[in-house]
Amino acid sequence: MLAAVGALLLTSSRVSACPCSDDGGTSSLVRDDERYAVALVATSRHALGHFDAFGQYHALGPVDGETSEELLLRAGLRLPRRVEWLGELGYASYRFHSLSRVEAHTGVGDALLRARWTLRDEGMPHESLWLPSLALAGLLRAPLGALADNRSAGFGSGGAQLGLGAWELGVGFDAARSLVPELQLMLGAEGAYRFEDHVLGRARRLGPRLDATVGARLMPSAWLAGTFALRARFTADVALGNGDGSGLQRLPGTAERLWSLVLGAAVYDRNSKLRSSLTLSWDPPVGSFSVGTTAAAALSVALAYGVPAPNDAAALNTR
Amino acid sequence: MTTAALTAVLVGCSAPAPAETSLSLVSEHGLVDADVRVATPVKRGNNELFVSLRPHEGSGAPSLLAVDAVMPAHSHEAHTTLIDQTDEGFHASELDLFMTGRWLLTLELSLDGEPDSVSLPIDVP
Repeated sequence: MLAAVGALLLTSSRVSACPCSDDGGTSSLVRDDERYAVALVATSRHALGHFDAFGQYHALGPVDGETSEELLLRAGLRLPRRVEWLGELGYASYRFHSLSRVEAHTGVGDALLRARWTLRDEGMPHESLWLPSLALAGLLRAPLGALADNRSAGFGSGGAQLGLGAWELGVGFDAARSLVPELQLMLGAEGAYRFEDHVLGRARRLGPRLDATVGARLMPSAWLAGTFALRARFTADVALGNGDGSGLQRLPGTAERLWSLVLGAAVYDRNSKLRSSLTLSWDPPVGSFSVGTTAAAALSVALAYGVPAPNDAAALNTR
Repeated sequence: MTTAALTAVLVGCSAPAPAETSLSLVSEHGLVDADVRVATPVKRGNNELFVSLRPHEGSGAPSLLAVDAVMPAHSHEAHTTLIDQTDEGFHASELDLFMTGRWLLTLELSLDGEPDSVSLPIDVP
């Protein structure tokens, strides 16, 4: 859920953010002046309630609970400078309990590989046509998660830290433009196709996913940045095959739509290899906004370490 | 691929019709006619079904073997084999639909040793 804000925070490659492994968005990790970077992200997520197939919101009862904690390892390489290669793998614990059922699952999530190509940097204010920065990205999700083994589940098809159970291939973009030096507006989107899987013991094809995020970043000082973003995720109906192996049939009423508000703060020093960030996301429990999914609140803390590219390392030492 | 995905997302997000709680169906292989009634109000937790079965053609005594439920996007599953045969048909109970949302129920049937099934959606508030 927090990946979009990661993309926003990092678009101009000055601040690091902390996306969860299950999230869409064209997030970046390695700054423009770095060759490598790694990050460890800890996320705690608590469900607030569920939206049914018609968008009606049902809050969890006093005996209900749905929570997860995730540790996500992200590693990135920038080579050449305009292309970033990023891998992500998480380990999560998921718990669900209601009056009649208790479930607890622990395991690795899916592996995500991303490639992000910076097409152009943001124009300079003195240029006649002050264009935003623009980057394109590709995503490949490999279903290594524990979901594929034990059919454990999570916060819907967009938020299952233990995996989707399906291969996913996506493309996206992000763009950013400064209004004033301290304020930047950002826009990002990612579409993904999910391939047929058999995680339920019969053929299933999750609906395609579209994520879109719009936000703003405020940089009140040289070491602090704050981000506010609105994010929407749309997932189409699931198609399911019969137990006898016959063809897939779309199941109306299984589509998902989720709106989220994301608030982030990042602390960094341009001369330091370390940086950290804190991100809070909240899915408003307002009926009709979201459909067929879980509303949750999540808090994420990230610590990242970046290794400067050779030329930049030399420049860093002379400062 | 992007265009196809976008179209599918938009089409797939159209508002669905509410699932019926009482309906008549013909099984997947055409062997059995099934009248299925889900006890209302449907609730999160244990639910009951009343099922009446008869051969679609010819004679025989169809039986209800199990009821499976799946929420396919979330990979949730529920299952019951607690099935009683009554004068009116079959009564399946303790089907734990523990999550709000749309589930797909599948009734595993048998007619003279031939397996068959019927499926229907159900909305859990």
